[in-house]
Amino acid sequence: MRVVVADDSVLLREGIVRLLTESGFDVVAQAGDAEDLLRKVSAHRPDVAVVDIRMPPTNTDDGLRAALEIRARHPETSVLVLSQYVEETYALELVGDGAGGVGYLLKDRVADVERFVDSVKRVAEGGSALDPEVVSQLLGRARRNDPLGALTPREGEVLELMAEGRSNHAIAEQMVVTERAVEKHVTSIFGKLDLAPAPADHRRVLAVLAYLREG
Amino acid sequence: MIGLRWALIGLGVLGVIAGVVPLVLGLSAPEVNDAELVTVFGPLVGWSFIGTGLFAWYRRPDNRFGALMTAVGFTWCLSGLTVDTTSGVFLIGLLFSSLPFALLFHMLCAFPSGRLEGRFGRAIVALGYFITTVLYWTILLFYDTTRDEWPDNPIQVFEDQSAADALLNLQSVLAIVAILGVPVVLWRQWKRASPAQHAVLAPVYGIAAVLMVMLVASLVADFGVMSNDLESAIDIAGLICLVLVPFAFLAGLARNRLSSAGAIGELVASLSEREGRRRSLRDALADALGDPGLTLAYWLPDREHYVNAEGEQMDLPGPGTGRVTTIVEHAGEPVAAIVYAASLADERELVDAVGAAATLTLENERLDAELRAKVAELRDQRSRSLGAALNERRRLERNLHDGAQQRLVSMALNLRLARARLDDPDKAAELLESAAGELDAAIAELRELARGIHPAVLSDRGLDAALEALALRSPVPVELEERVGERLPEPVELAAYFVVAEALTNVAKYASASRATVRAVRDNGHVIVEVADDGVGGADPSKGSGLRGLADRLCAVDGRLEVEDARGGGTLVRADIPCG
Repeated sequence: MRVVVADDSVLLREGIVRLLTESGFDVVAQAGDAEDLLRKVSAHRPDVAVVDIRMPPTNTDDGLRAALEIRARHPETSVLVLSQYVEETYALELVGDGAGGVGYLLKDRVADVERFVDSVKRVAEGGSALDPEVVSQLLGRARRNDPLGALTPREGEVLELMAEGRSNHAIAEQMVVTERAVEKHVTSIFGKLDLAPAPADHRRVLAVLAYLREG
Repeated sequence: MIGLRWALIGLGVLGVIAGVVPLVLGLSAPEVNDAELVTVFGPLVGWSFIGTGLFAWYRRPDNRFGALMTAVGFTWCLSGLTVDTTSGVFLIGLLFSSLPFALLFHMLCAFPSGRLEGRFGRAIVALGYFITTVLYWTILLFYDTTRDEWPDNPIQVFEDQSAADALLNLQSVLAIVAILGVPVVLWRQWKRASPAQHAVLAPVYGIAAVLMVMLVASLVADFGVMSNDLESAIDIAGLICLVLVPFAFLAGLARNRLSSAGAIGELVASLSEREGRRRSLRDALADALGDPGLTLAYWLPDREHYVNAEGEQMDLPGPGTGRVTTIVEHAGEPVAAIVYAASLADERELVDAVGAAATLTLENERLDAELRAKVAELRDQRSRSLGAALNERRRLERNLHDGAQQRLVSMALNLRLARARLDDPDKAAELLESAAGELDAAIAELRELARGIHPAVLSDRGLDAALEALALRSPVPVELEERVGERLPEPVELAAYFVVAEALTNVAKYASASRATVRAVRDNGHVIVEVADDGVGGADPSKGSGLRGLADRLCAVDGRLEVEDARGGGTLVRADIPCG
C-alpha cells in the first residue's frame, strides 16, 4: 500500500514513516505543509494520505482543508487525519456525506501501533476510522434519546465499534465473540434504532453517525 | 408672580391705611396713656416694617422673612388701636398689643433665610407666641386697664387684682427668658454664618442687640424700680431701635449686593489669572461664597452620576445634611454641582451668579474629572485583568503539577522498575503496561489543558464553530440559537468563548437544567453572548469564583458580565463586549 505522510513536526513524521514502513506500507513521499502535501498527492496518487491537521502555512486547520481537497480531487486517495484535539465538528465535516475513505484519529493513537496500522489499512481500503473519543462524545449526547436506552450493554459496545468504522470481523475480534454473534447484534441495533440495514461498513457508519448527530 | 405682585400692592395700600389709623386716633385722643408715642411711632414702625417687609417679600417670594416683617408692621398698627376709647376698637388694639414682639422675635431668629434653625430657636419663638397670645389673653381676663389710664377692659371677668399681678409678673419673667434667649439663637446663627453673611447679618444683629437691652430694661422697669422719666426714656429708645430694624435689614441687603458684585468680580479676575498662578477653582469659589467647606461635583453624562475632582463617584447631599446644591448648567446640560453650607441657601442668587461666571472653567474641570474617572477605571480594569491572568497561571501550574507531572514521574518509576525486572518478562510487561497507561492519561490531560488555554477550533474557525464545538461537548443539550456569522478580533472571540464555556460548565454542574440555549450576536459595535438555561437559577457572580473570574477576564476587553434569573426560571448569563 502506498502512503504519503504529512506532518510539520519532523520527529513525529519520521516516527510514523518508520512505523508504517515496518508494518509493510510503502511510504512514497513526505510533506511538511499543506501545499507540499497536495503537490505530492497529485504526483504520487497514493492509496492513503496520513495528515496532521495543524500544519503551515497558517498553522490552523490547513491539514483538514487539504484532506477535503484531496477527497474532492482524487477520490481514489483516502485520507486519515491526525489531530491533537478531538473536535466532533472536524470529524463530521470530514465524514461529510460519505464516510468511505476517511479517518479522524487523535494523534496519540499512533502509540497503539497495531490498532493504528489497522485503521490506516481500513481507511486505505475505502473504509472509515473515527476516534473512539469522537464516538463516545456523540454517544454521550445521544444517550439522552430513548431508543439508545433500549440497547443492551453488548449492543451499545457493538454500536460504538461500528461508529468507529470497524468491520464485523474486527468487532468480533475485539469483543472475543463470533462474527455471527456480531451480525445478530447489528441487526438488532438497526431494528431498535429503526434504521435501514446497510451492508457496506462505511455506509452503516454513516447511518449510525447521522443518527447520533440528530440526537 | 403677577398675582403675588398685585397682592403685595394691595397689602401696601392696606399698610398705608393701617399706619394712618393710629396716627389719626392718636391725634384725636391726646388724653389716653402713651398717645404721643402711639401717634409718632405707630405709623413710623408700622410703615417701615410693612414697606421693607413687602419689598423683601417681592424680591424673595419663597422666603418667609418678608411676610414676617410685614406681619410685625400690621400687628404693630393694630396694637395702636388701644388709643381709641370705643370699646370694640380698644379691644382689638388690646388683643394685639403684645403680638408684634413675638413676631419680631420670630423674624430676628429666622433672619435671613426665613426658616428657624434648631430646636432651641424654635422653642424661644414658641415661648414668645405663648406669652403674647395665650398667657397675655388670660391676663386680660383679670386685668383692670383703667390702672394704666386706659379705657375699661371689655373682657375683664375677674376682679382679683392680686391674681392679675401674679400673672403679670409671670409674664415679665417669661418675657425676660425669651428676650435673653434671642441673642443666644442669633449668636449660634452668627457662628454658623459665612464671612460673606456676616456682612449681611451685622447691621440687623447690632440693632437687635440694642433692642433686646431696651426691652429687658423696659420689663425690669415694669417692676417699678425706676423713675417714670427713665422708664419713658427707655421706652422711647426702644421704639427708635424698633424703627431702625427694617433699615438695618435694608443695609444688610445692600451690603449683600455689594459683596456679591465684589465676589463675582474677584472670582472672574482670579479665574483669568495665568495658568500656574491660578488657584484651584474650588478655592476661588469657596472664597467668593465665603464657605471654606464648599465642594464641587462634576457631571459625567455617559455614566449619569457625579464625581469629585479625583474622578471618584459621589452623591449630592440630600435634605437635612446641612449642605445644599446648586446645579450649574451649560447649553441645557448639567456641568457641575456646587455643594455648599445650607446657611448660604438664602444667597442662591449669589451662588447662581458665581456658578455662571465659572461655567467655562467648570466645564474644563469637568472634562479633567471625566478623564480622571476613566483613568481610575482603566487602572482598576488593568489590575483586575492582571489578577485574572495571575489566577489563570496559578490554576495551570496546579493542574500541570497535580496531573501530567505526577503521571510522568510515576511512569519514569515504572520504566525503571521494568528495566530492573527484565529477567521476569511477565512482571516487566505489567510494569510497562502501567507506564503506558500513565502516559496515555498524561497525554489526555495535557490535551485538555491546552484546550483550556486556547481552543484550536477558535483560532481555526472562529467563534461560531468554537461555540458549536462547546455545544456538542456539553452534557446538557445545547441549542445554538444565533451566531455572529463572521470572524471577530481574536481577543473578543476568546473572551466570548470563555464566557460560554464557563457558563455551560456551570449549567452542567449546578443548574440541574434539561437544556440550554446560546446566542451570540453583533449589535452596534458590540458582541452580546447569552447563555440561558431552564434550571434552578440563583447563580450569584459574587459567590462562585468562576463567574467572578470571568467578569475580571472580561475587563481586559472592556466587557461587562451580567448574571440574572431568566424569565421562567433558570439563569441567564450575558456578556457585552465592545468590538470596534
